Amino acid sequence: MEEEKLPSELETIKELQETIARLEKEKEEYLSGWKRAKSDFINYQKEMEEKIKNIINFANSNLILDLTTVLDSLDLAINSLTEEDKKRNLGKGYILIQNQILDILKKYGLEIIEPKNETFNPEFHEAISTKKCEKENCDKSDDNLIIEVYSKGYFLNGKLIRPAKVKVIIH
Amino acid sequence: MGKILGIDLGTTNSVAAIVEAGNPRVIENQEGARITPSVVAISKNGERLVGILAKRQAITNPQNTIFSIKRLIGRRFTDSEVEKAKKILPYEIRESQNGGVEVKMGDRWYRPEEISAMILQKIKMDVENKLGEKITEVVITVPAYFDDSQRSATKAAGEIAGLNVKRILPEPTAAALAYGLDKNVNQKILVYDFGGGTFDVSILEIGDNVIETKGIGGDTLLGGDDFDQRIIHYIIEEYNKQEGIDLSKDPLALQRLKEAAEKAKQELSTLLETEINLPFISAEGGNPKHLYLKLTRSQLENLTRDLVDKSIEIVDKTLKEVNLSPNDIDEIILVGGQTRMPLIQQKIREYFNKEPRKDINPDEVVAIGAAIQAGILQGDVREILLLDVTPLTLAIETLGGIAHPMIPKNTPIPYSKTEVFTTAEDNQTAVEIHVVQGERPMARDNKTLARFILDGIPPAPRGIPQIEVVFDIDVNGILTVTAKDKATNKTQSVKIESSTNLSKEDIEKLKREAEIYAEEDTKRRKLAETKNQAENLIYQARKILTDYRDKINEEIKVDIENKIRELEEAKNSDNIELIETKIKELTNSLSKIGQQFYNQNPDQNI
Repeated sequence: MEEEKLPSELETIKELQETIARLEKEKEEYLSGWKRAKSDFINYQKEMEEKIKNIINFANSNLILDLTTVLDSLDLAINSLTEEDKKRNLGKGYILIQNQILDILKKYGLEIIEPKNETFNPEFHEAISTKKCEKENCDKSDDNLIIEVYSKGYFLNGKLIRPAKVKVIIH
Repeated sequence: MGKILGIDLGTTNSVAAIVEAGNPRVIENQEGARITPSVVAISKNGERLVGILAKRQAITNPQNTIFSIKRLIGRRFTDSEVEKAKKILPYEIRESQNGGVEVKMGDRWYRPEEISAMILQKIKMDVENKLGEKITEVVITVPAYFDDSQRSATKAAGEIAGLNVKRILPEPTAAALAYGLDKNVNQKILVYDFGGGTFDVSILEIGDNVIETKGIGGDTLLGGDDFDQRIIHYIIEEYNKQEGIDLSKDPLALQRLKEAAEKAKQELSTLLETEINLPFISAEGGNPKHLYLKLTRSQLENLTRDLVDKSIEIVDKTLKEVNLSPNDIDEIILVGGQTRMPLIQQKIREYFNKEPRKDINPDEVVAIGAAIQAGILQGDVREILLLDVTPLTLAIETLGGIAHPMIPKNTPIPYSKTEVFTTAEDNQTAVEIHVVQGERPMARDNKTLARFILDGIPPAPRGIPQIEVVFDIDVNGILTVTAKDKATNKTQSVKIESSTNLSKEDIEKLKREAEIYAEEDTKRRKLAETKNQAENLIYQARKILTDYRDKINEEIKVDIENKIRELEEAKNSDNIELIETKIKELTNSLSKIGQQFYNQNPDQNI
């Protein structure tokens, strides 16, 4: 009698085994998905902390970056003053205004990059134009030398927000 | 198993993105930027530079700075594209032993895949630093027109960079994936890709779980940079007309012009008019000269209309090549920064009589799609599983008809938001809760979802009662709005079933309206706010007059009463400036009371 039942029981066992296998596979899948989601979240948290720190440090970065074009204009205005102009109050006024705004921005962590006569370094400088060495016997010692700063570069709290735009000697 | 990174390896710029917690996002590079220039160089002191650093030094070192390598990868030296590229690229290019291409950088010759590998390597390292985990597997996108040899060269580039390239994905397919287009619905998609230097059109057919490229077209020498050039030329010409000075020979002036032109172009995508303001741009006989110019959106459109028309002609030609008409296209996807230009969107709308898809950042959409493909491969994104989001902003009407947002658009649901409001009048015993949906700042321009009254508020001066309003959307998109008077706990609520199931056309229409009326709306909102401010001030002033009736000088009292009357009259006009002036005047008059008191006090108290 019992032996007669066997085929159907075997069937059931087989079905159950298949179910277990399927569930195990599903469990693995869900577990790994859950683990990944969890690690994603931890990473996300870490990154957010970092981001919030950055936001605090560089909250003013965009505003100050926009203001640097005004600083450029002021530089140009002052550079266009003659020696005569500079002695007059109006000329002096320009320079005082520049000092005033730079004082404020320096308090917020602004540092100026003014690399005239330094060697070109793409980490802080962007080459806008070049000049071929015109000396009779170029010894190449001044290769990559910055001979003109078109617009100054700026660091904010130690991070580059704008490279200096420069003219460089090449051979 | 590590994460698979999606990389859009572009001709000018590259972008990397990854799926995290089911959502794709772009990863910033070491320098903090979301895009990395596809430029590689060997500096004069033998250092290898990749990305922005290589770009910054390019003109000091043109022979050893390699850009646009994508124009050469996987090509035969005899290809006509290589011929063309040779004319515009400043570095040395020669035939390799097996008939391919080699470029010279430093004192060595490199195959293009080696150069691309350097870009990929930088991206890999930057992402690893950022995420703190190893990246070994990637999905890289290539243009739809890339042939087998170009695809396998791109794959080889990944392998040289130590990456296992799981999939080479066509860029338009990536864009379609980014928009989550359903693979099981048969549809035809056109991808309009206006990059910085190239223009590409691709027609995709989706169905039975396959995405097939039906047709491609484009122009490898038409790009967003052409638009910038047009603006620069225009400014140079205008300035020459005004001042008789040619700025095109002055590298500093040109640099400033270039930046100003880019800025103007971007601004005119959202504004109707912008100013180009470049003081001390030049000098003549010791006299400084300035450049000041207004540029309107329609001027920009006139300057560049032919470029846009040309792109539409290419679209038309490409459709005809595969025997399709504009009506056959179900979706149009915009890729590339230049597609932010309203004229382009308008021309596409006119041509297809359909709204293009543009809500994903067009500079990043390809990388996002690559990340989604990567996510599918690693099992993170099984089907394109997206949480439902609110398609439009849900808001409540406040004083002056302003729509005050409670739940912004694209908020994943379920979601709940609570905010406390108050009354606008003294002894107000009922408030009307007006729930609206839409992007316009004034309530009446949006769609009304519900209105109800919460009454039985105990009489009190304005600003004292606290009415708590809760907006709650459940998983099925059903919005319940509840208003409660915190003093009496009296509650009133309403259920809105259809807050998310607007048709796509409706949503697009509402969003478009918001864009069209943006400027006008801002003005009206400002007006409403100014009126509210005026009303508040009048209320305060009257209260002070009543409270200190006996203590204020007659002269000051009369003055304040006059100023109140004037402000009330101004408030009924629509003149913001007038109302603001009158607000200021009344404020000044009110401050005289303070002065009077301070002057009196010494006599009284000491």
